[in-house]
Amino acid sequence: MATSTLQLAERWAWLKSWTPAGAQQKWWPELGATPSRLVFQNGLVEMHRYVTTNRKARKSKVFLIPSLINRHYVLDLAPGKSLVDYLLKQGHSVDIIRWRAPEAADQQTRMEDVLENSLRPALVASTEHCGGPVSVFGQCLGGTFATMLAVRWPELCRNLILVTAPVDFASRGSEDNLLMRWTQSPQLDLDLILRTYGNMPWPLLQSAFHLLTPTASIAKLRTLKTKGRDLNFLRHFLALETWSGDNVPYPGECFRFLIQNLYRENQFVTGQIELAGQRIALADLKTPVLSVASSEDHIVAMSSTLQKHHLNAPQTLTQIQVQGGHVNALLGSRSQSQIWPQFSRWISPTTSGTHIPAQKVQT
Amino acid sequence: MQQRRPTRQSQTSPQVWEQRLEISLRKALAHPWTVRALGFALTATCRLQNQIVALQALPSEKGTPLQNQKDRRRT
Repeated sequence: MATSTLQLAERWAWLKSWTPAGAQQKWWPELGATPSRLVFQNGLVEMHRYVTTNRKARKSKVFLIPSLINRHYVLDLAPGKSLVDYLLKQGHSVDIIRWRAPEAADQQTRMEDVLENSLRPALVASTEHCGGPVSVFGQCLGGTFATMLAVRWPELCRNLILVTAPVDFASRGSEDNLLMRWTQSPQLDLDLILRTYGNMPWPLLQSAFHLLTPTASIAKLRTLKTKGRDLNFLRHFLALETWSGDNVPYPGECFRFLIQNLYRENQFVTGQIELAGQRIALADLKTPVLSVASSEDHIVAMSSTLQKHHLNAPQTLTQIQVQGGHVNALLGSRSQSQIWPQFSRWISPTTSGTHIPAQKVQT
Repeated sequence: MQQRRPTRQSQTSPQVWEQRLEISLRKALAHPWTVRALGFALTATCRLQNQIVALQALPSEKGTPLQNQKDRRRT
């Protein structure tokens, strides 16, 4: 299955290379095109700062953390569909984490190393640049890391924005959560997988994600058939497909942490994760949070995202529920008009960042 | 003329069938036997991969059978 996904990815790349340059310019938008420069690098982490001419931009800063398996440019997808570009235009200064593809030498890199020795120094560099704590934005597993950072080093985070971020990995009996069933199965031999591959190959992970929604490809083709003549739709579709097929492998020991410590033992909720010599628990989160979750998300179920019952200080949490799948919260048809302005308000220095009424948004 | 009443089946759109298929497939994928089978397949793939790597790493003083055959032909 991994091979077939790899073959598909190769065919996709071949199709792109075969397409005449003119058609490529017309259909394939430039991905991650907003100019940025590298300002920090350590281990698997690279921090890039977006270039802005906006004078107000240094007043409020947002630190973006994408998921460890995904490329960063989902947050800067294409012209007109770029959250980064939107935030820059709203006058915010933006730093983003880019995950370097792990090599054989990186398979022993532990999650604690990533958080303590790579992400924390990057966050410190970001706070030094703007002269105070920053808003931390985490997408999917990037949101899990952002929450851990905020619990352990609250002085660095002014507030948090979590988009479809899993924090509670306990299996709920009533839910048809395939990922939880698979990861909790004793047949998933982590030692053997990591001994074989070193780092977890992304085609294997991608295959598992494809299996979560077995008929999604048929639905995609049907939508493409009905809306394919609309050039704007086609550009967005191709940009998203290119992004979803362009991933990085998961560092070996980090993968073990994800499956064993989070999916199997739910250690963030039970307070057993140790970071920089101190145990951290989700309940101790005191930083104001804006959490966006999708109702039909097969990768991160609603119950896995941050809920009021997880926190000792539930008043700090504001929730937005979006209709649709995993990426809809970020790139759905109405996200740009309804969700992104909420992000901007949350980052803005004039907003206390403590309360926006909970709401449901149809995208 | 007697008109044929539309049956329930003929009113079902492809989307509904697709949805039903999705639900059935997801149920099947969540079944303990399927979970076990997927784990077994992954384990088998890893073991096979390890065997291949181990065979490739064997010292090749005598060469592979194919290489030996080619050498014999040359001589």
